[in-house]
Amino acid sequence: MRTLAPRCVMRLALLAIAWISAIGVATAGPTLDDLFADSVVHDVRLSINERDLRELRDRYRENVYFPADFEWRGERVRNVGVRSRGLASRSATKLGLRIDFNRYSTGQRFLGLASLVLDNLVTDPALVRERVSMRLFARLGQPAPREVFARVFINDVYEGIYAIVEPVDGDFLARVVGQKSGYLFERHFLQPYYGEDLGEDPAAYRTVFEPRTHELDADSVLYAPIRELFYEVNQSVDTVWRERVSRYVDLQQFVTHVAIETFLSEADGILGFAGMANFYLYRGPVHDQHRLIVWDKDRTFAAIDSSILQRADENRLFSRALAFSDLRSLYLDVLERCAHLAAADGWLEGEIVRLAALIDGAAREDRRKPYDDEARVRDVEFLRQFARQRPAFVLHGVAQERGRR
Amino acid sequence: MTRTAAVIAVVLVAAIPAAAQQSPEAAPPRKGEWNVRWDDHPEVEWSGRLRVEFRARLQGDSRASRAAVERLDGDPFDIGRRRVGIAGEIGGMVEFQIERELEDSVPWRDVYVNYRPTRGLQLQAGQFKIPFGLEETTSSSNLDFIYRSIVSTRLAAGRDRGTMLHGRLASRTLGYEIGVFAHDGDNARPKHAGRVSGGRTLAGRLTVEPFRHSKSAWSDLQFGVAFTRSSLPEGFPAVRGRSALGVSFFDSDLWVKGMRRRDGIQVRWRPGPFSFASEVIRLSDDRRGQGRSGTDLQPFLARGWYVSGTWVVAGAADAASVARPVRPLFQGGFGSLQLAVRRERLVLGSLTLTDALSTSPRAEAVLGNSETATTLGAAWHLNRWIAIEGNLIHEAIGAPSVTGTPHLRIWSRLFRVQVSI
Repeated sequence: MRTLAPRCVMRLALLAIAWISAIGVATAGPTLDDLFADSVVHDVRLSINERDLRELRDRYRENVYFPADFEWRGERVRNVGVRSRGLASRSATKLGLRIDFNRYSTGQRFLGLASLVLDNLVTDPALVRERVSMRLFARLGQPAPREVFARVFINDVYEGIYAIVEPVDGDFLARVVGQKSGYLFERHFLQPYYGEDLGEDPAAYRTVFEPRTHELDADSVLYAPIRELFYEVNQSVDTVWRERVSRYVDLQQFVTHVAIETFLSEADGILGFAGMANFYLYRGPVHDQHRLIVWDKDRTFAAIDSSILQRADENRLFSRALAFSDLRSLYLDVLERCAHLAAADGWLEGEIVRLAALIDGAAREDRRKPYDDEARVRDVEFLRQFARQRPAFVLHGVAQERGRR
Repeated sequence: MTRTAAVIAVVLVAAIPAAAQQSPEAAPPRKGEWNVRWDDHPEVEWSGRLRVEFRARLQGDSRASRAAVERLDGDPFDIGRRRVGIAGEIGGMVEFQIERELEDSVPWRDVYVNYRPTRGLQLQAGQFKIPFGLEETTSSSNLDFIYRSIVSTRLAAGRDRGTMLHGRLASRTLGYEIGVFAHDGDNARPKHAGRVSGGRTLAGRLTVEPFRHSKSAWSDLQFGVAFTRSSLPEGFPAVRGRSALGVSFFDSDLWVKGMRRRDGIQVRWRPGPFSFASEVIRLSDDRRGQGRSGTDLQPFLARGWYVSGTWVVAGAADAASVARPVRPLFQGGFGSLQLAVRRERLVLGSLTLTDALSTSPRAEAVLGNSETATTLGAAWHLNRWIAIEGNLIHEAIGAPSVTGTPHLRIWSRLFRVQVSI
């Protein structure tokens, strides 16, 4: 009986390995990293019954869910829940959308995500503010949702250029802080809030902070630490103020967050024109200390020459925190870091140029955006100017501030 | 409890004068004269050409259930029904009935005229029960349990305005009913705006008693099949999953459009002191054009069955006459006593799974819910007008293994005092 030569066996083995590898590559599905790959403009397709779509547009001011099928890269998720979202960005023409994969099918997920946000970008003529801002937060070590651009089609009709935004939820917390069992609140904008003490009743803070986890817990459980935070914030700044407030908020992280927003000339953030806005408040499951998580940065790049202390005295917490020299110094340090990071190798301008070019075609085809292409190009040019000039302006402001002390 | 005791006392006191009028000798009608008598009901009769019965029914219910008490605002006693009416006959060929509740948002019950030229061909018009469902078309005063089965209450049609041909053929062995109705009955009618029910409805029922003329215990055996067909406008259906005392376990938040189909089979047998009854009902709502991309979806299905049995322990000749005790209370006897048991199941949701189950209003495969209930009952008929009933119901809703739908176990106790003349 003839036996196979060792060389022949080796060849067959290599062939088998190559075949199995090829099958593996061919059958491996896309991952979450593929979804948030930012070098391409993704395509997202939604199928919504025409009657539901009409009602969704008619009732875009409400958080009413409608059933839909979601498709990305051939991956189809059936029976997802879709609703209109946003505050100032709500639009019937170009719908801002939230996709809940488990709305109608308990436990259903897409690449491990329970939900996704499709940001319609209607408040940003350049369409890249949010994306660039989140990149800066992330580069400075702050937890920030991942974002990529996508062309969204509803019933095969192009709805426009969107940002796919990773929602701030339990999954996000697990990724950025390593635990998802804590307490998460979204700033709920009903009226301006500057950090005032709202009194003894913890439920008073429900109008300011909407729970996104532990929704069924009692108000006393959810809001007692928040009430304590703003009670202590509003006490006189004395030797124990810092110790007491630090029990309820990470002051270093808070100051860092505000400094990045200030560098970006955020008009609608912690020191926004209408009080504290566009952030999440997170508290771990055991301790009472809160920290901020960035959200919705479509009003950044407001002005190249906005002061590094603009509206700093309006916010109760921030104005008191800056009374401490180390926190003030941290604030200025972070501003400096932002400026250096943005200017180094023209990083900030490079990002703006890269992203604007990436979405140029999709943006031109977007007939539902509220600004024309001329306005978009003009605004991108302004952003580039901001990226070139803002670092120097901020560094000058920081130097002046340090000199004053 | 004080209120309940008071009602019982009133009933017992009322039983004494009622008993005094028991069994008057029915005198033959005399021509040209008005005759007044009280047999089953008080009635007046003129010259054999006009007869009018006066009817009234009072039901007081006491309910105790963890689920129900939450809905009763702390008062477990409720006067469930105060109904009055007249019924009668004109000239031997026309029958009529008019009934209404004294306090109800929809007060009118049966309001109809029945023209009966022959036993085999009769024409009924007005508002009455659509001929679907053995239990549903049985008067509430003749039920073996305090409440109808959940299957009957949720899936059978109920009353509506319409016209019906009916009769009995082949020496009463065969019965038929077929009619057209404005809608598909008050059981399916939406209580709130935004829900839809069936439009114009065709309904029919065929019953057969194959051994009617035999002298055996089988002579009472009856089989029946029934159907309804209705047009169904676009919307969420009003047919929903509710427990015996109204706890919601499936809200039917899904789009339907097209046709509603009900199909049912029924069987009843009353050999001596025992009785047996069962029904199977299937309701199907089309979902035409309701898919995400406008495609047709599988019909929404609701189906269920019940099996019930009773035993006349004492006091009546057989199960059919349990409400007419041989020796009523205060007339040398104690009335009659009947025990009953019923097992039932109601399932709402998709039958075939061509897609992942979902609660989406446009899901191909609807994640529904189910209930299985067992009812134990006892009824004490003091005389032919007064009955005291007690029921113990165990309901098992949903399954713990299925997430996304409610699941719970409920024990409920019901108690009813009924005065019916």
